[in-house]
Amino acid sequence: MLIEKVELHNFGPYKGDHEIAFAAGGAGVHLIRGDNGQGKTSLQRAILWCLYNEVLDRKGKPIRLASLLNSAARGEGSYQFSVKLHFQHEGKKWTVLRRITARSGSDSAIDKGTLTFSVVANGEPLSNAEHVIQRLLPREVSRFFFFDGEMLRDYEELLDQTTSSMEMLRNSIERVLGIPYLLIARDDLNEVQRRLENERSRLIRKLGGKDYQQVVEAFQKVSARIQEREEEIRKLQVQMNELEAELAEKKRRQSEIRAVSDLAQQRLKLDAEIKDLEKDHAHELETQQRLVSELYKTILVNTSEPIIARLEARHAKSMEKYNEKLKLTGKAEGLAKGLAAQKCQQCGHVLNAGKLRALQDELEEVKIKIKELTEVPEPNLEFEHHVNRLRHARSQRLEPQRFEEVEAKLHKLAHTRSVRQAKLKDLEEQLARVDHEEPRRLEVKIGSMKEELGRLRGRKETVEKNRLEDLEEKAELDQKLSTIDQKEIATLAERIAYAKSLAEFFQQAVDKYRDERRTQVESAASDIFLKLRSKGSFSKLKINQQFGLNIITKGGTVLDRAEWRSAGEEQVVALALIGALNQCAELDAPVFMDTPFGRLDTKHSKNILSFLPKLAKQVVLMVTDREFRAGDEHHLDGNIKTDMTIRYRDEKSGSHLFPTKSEASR
Amino acid sequence: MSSAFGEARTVPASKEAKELLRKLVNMGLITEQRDGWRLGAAMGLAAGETHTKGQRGTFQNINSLDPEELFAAVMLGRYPKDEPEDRLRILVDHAEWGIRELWRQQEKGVLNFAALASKRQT
Repeated sequence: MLIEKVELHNFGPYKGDHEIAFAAGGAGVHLIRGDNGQGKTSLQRAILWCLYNEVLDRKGKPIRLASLLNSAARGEGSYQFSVKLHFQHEGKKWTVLRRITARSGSDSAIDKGTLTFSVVANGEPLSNAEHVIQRLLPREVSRFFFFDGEMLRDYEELLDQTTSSMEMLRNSIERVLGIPYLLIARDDLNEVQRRLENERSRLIRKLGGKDYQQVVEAFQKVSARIQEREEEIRKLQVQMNELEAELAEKKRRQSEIRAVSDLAQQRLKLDAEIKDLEKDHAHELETQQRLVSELYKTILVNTSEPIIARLEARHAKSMEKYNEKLKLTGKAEGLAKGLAAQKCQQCGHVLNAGKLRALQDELEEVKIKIKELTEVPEPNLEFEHHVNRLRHARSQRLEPQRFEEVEAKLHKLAHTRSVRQAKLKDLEEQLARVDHEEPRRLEVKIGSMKEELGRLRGRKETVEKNRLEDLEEKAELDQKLSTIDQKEIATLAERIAYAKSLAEFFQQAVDKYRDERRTQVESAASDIFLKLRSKGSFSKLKINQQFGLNIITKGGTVLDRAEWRSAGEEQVVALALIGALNQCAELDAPVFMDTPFGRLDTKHSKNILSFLPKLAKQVVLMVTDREFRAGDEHHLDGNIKTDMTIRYRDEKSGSHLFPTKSEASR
Repeated sequence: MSSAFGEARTVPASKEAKELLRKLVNMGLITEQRDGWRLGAAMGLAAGETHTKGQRGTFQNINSLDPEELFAAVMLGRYPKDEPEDRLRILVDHAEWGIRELWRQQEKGVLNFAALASKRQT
């Protein structure tokens, strides 16, 4: 099968009509680039929905139809979405169309919308379309051709030999390899044998008279019993499979809940971190408040220089007046004494009347000046006091850097706290969804399921044992019946023996074929693995009964999954298995890989890219920029036939596909 | 004890200024209302801006608002010829403007203490 074109209408993020055509008729390697959330996975889901009318989310749960309709189209009143595939297969041109048309935009109306499904080969519409698709590419095996990280989880299940999903997976692999055809033939031969035995019993009753009546009845009873037992074994197996699947689901849920307890631990840790941050924040805030309470001094000091100068001038002026007044007071006292003694106070000469008058005049002048100096009272001591206050405040000036430092610390603490709080909120939301009684209920449920499983196993063993006893009894009765000397009966006995030996032959053929195919897969996977591996110490892969692969080192050590310790190596092994299955498959299908290099380093990615052209006739790689870097194209050695980019524009117009070159030039 | 403000013992403040100071305390920007009043008064004096409108009621004691008599020194230096009662009124006008400005800057998210500390105005 080579997919040539995919047409989408209102599917997922693709609003309106979109198409992607794969060049070269679909053969070769095709790149679809896009960051996360652009619509790569939706494209893969569109193809799977078109083929199987079912889309699974990453947890393997079905996605409801209402979620597949483009939300913008739905908002505009368009309630129809469809996917059309164009592909070549077995020399014919095929188209597969699946469409849902709803009457209204409600979820239930879309879920119950009218389904149109058609398969056309070379222009001829085919009836029984779903069956045709199952024949071309059975749904159970599509996981090996359309896969992402989920494939890895499936593969890990292969190595766990206790789950029913492992059995289903193994059946899927066997289906890819064509083993069921032989099993169907074996079952058909068993049915033929049963019919012939019934025919013989009928004939014996008719011809053999009373002699063999009892033997025939016993033979028929034992045959019927064997059939009943086989039916019961089948039913028990189905019950066990269902129970094991449910048990696996419950265990998965249990491990999820264990992860929840880790979340609770994380929450406690975050709580403590946030408390510490809040304490630090409160401390820094106190520091800031302390600084702010003193900031007024800095502002006042910064503006007080002219005020100090003014106050100092006032102070100097008042001191000048004060000193002048002191000087004049002293002078006045000297003059008054001279006038009283009528002689000079310095030399002692007696003063005449003219001198005394001059002294009297001088004294009057001094008294007037003193009066002038004391007439306007001034708070002269306060000037000095205030100047000193302001000068002292200079030493308390705060540097701007101190505020900046505190501000920066507060910002950093607030940011860190908000990041932690967002994480805490997220954790609390996750924890809020947890039912705290669930772990106990699960424990009880798992316990009772294990008991039930044990009971079913025990019952199955008993029934199988009884069946074996019945088979022995039947063989003895068959021996007796085969001695009947009647030609027709003898002929029937021969035919029964022939059918029986053929069925046994087919069983052996199945076993042999299974072993051969397993060996083939092991050999092919080893070849691929050696091309992809990064460590020279790895020698080959060894396959087990469940198609699980272990790495064998050159020293002969078997590395099981627990010892690999590298998610990347597990992915390489899983890719080797997929490559091997595609090489050995009885089916011819394209390989769609969604974000295939997620866990891989550059070296592994490069090895895988170089190998991809040999993986299948058509390989479609859906990659992010992180996975497929500029320059990686040359590893594909000119095999890239299509190079497209998906970009999600906005909610209104959704995702769009462009040739990467035109996208790059935008 | 400075005579810069005469016989006055209490400093008045408007209802709005008191409300803004209460909000600033609740926000954790300042510890006490008097811190906000001092900062506002210093900002008003530095900017040379006043707010004269509105009725004023008793706010706090002058000694608790100006324990180091820095406002008294600045007001005496800046308004030497005014009467002490007028000096106090003018100081309150500066504080009223500054408190409102402090709140405005906080509201707009442009309050920057480092910038306030570095401004050198004459």
